[in-house]
Amino acid sequence: MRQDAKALLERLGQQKFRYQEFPDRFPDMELWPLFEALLKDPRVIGEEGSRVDAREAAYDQSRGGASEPVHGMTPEGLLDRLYAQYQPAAADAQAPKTESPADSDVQVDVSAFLATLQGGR
Amino acid sequence: MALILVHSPKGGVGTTFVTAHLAQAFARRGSQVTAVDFAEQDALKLFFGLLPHQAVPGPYEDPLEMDGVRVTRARDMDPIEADAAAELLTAEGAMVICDIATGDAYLRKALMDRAAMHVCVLAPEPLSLAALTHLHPSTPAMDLKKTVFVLNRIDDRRRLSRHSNLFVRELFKDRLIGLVRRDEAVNEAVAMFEPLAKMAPHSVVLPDFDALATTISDLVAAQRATGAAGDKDAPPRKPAEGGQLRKVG
Repeated sequence: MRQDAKALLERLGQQKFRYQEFPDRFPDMELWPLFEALLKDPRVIGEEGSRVDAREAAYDQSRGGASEPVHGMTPEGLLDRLYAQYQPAAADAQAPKTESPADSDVQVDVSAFLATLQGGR
Repeated sequence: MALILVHSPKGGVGTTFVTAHLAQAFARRGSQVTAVDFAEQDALKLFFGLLPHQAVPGPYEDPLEMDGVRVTRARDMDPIEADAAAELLTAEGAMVICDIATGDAYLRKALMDRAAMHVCVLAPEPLSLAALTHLHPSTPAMDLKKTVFVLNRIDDRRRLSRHSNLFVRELFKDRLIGLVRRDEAVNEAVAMFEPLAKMAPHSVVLPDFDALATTISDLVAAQRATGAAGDKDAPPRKPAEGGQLRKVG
């Protein structure tokens, strides 16, 4: 439970409320073009090669050495992977399954994803 | 003690607000703290309950203390004068927090050598994020030493605010040292000429700044320890372990 919600319920003396967070659903989580533009801007992210290389390595490591290149995935697949990181376990159980069967068992370093976007220009 | 510069590449994101409430949070911790208004608008004093016509003394005048914070104004100073004033104020042993206007990036640059850190205030809004491209003329935002980030006015009811929060968090990681939630009570307090802590003591903003002050205090202490070890150019980062830093938001 979020600390502010917990504090509010305690102040109100309410025990009857059921707490639930409502995470963003996949279809709502489009990647804003602004974010992509910033990731591609050298004034925001420098040392392009070394940073991307490092993140690529971290990504490969996080996948246990899997060789599937991120560049070959569809944008929808990338977004699914990105936002899967922010789905609480309980919400995952209730949420409708996405079309990619690999989503549930692949843990991806989000930074690797962002760095990959930067490197993919 | 330590010089903290608060500056943003985009105006209107709450730089003055962050300066004032960060100073008040340090005062609540019992720290001796000075808030310096380098901005032309003379707005810092409004967060301390002063009226628009009430003058704030300069750094060489008798001090004005409000809510445990010494409030001073450094107006029309060139970089050399500003640096001298900062040296004087920090020599007095206080935590010195400076509000620097967006257009005065030269002032930030002039004071950076003396500063412990630069707190860059961002808002979860596209114009603020886009201004990251103008943070420094030659160094990428991610590589700026001494620069840390605070995301102000976050509102989880708004989609772009949530997504911006995720984006900034992933972009800067441990360089994002604070989140401050949006609360209309902030504006209401200014309109009432009352400090926020007095008019809205349960405002969500107050614990956010308490957490930010704790983080900055820990970072300054860590910087000193690192500096003592000879690595003075190390950028301020949250310690990865230790549990002293509280997660905000």
